[in-house]
Amino acid sequence: MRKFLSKYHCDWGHISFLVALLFIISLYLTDAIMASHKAENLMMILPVSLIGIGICLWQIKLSTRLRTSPQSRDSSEAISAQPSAAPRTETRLFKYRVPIFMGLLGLYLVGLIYVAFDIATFLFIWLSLLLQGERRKILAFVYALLFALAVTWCLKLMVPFPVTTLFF
Amino acid sequence: MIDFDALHKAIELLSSSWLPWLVVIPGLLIGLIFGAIPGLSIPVAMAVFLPVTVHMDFLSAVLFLTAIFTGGGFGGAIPAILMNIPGTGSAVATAFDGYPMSQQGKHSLALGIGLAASTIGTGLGYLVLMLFVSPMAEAVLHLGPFEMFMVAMWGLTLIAVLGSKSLSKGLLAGLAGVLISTIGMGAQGDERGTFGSVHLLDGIPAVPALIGLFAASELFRLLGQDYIVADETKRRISFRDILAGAKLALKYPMTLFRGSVIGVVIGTIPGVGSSVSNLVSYSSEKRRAKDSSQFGHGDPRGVVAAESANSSSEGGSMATLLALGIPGGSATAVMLGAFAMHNITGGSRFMAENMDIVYSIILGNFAQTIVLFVVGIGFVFVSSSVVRVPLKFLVPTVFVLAILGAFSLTGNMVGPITVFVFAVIGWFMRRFDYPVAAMVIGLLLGRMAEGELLRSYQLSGGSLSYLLERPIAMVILVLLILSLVYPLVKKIFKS
Repeated sequence: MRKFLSKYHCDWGHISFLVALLFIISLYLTDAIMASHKAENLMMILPVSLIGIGICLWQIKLSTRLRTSPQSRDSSEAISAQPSAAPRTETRLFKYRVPIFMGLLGLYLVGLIYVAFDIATFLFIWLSLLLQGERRKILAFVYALLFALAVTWCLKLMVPFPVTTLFF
Repeated sequence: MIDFDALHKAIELLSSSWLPWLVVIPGLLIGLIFGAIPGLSIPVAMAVFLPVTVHMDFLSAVLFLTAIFTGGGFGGAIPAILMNIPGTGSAVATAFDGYPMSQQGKHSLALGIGLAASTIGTGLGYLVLMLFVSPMAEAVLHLGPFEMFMVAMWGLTLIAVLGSKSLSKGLLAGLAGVLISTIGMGAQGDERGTFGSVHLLDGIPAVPALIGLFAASELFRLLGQDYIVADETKRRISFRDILAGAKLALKYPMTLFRGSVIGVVIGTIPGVGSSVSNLVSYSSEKRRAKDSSQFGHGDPRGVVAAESANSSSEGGSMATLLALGIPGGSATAVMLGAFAMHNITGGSRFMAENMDIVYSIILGNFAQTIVLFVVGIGFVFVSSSVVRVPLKFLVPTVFVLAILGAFSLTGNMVGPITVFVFAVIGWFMRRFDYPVAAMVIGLLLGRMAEGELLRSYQLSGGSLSYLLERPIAMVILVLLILSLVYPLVKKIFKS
């Protein structure tokens, strides 16, 4: 026979996202009100912000609602469902692949601003390939180099504004 | 409706020289390539190649630019179908059903459907333009700011039909998009949400934000996978399937027709165009369908509705350009530049004095649609090989193209930074089940809605009786309410 437990189930990740959104909307509304109190300035922003804040609060309430969940074989099943075959380092890398890739993308932008378009693009592609487990290191290097040079050359030809490069 | 003398002269003009035809295929290919690369857009392609048109006669120049326009109209559908990343804002709705079809291994079929719908949509758009060019342009003049606001609101209500499991999440995403679109210098000169940064004075660039939102939700998700299509046997590229897809699109003639009409009508409205028409057409088709449960899961009707509407918008936007000299969007604004380079000003006088040239442009575009189908099949065949590229190579490559494409749009690092910021936002939204498409609609329409609401307020002096004096706006309002209420009523009666 299954036992049923009543408890508050909180999706903390979602709640954090909503709190951040709530904070940003409130901050924006305050900034808009401080810019001007006139109806012309606030006729769109004020109602939209207030509805947005209301929905955020409603979603936070939904995310912390009381849930009745069966206590059964879940704990043992959850443990057995964990992937255990893969080596620990690879699992960690896989688990955090999105934040790592986001970081790499951020560094790429820094490289575009402070280094050069061709070098930054080459490093971004090469490191991305290595990060995703490309074992053919020479292929990864050559592909990244050729693609970076080709795409930067095309960009430089196409746009009328300055593009910082090292090679051409 | 048709000036047959001018039409006869137009046929003579087009058949007298092969020079105007020589530029069509290069133009289509440029449009297809620029449309297919996220970040590079049709206006960018037209702006880049505008100087080339100085050396052409006026007709060749316009045919070249409209070929880029036509090619780009379909080009945006290719990454939307293959990677869930709309190449342009007008291909947002194409991704709703096109991408699920790709995931099921029906990428060739989906691309064939998109190509046929796009070709037919463009053709129908120009047919409507030929028949009704003058009355359509005159009708646009009757649309005031309040009517434009209602059109924008109509677009915003589409958030409700985007297939989000939770309406409140869809609304929140859409409202957040509207708020983001109002960042920057307001119409009254007030700085909102810039926090002292000069880079934010012009607001958030919509296209880089769109790319970031879609690219994030898909490319980050694809990081752990090997290929777009998981099943190796379904990764093959089939010429026969592309043709079968084109044939399948013809099985939905009414969807094609409705989509094309919606596209032309919305395309005539300056500032709205194809980015709204594809969504309106998609939602209209979804509402009409007896069995709408397949929409969003790879229903061919979704691709047909979206592609026919965004392609036929070209005809609508050309109507306002030719008859009024008003560019409906960035692409027609560049075309207006070509007009100026040849000392020609669009408008009623141009129409009255050069009807033969107007018909030549329209007939030339009819021929372009046929060429688009042939060139498009070859292009689709080559581009669909993207499903065979390992994702570990594809993901960083597409990211670089998106980042550099955004740079080419803004001319500074604001574009790439916007892509990055919205990439992160999009990933979080997807993680917590918020529809990124809703935020995109808010972003695309928010600023326009605010501007038109402000103008309505200023014209009315704050009096509500002004609204009752706007019958067109009232009709749109009633249609809007009916379109929202009808599915609910239908559901209640069914249950």
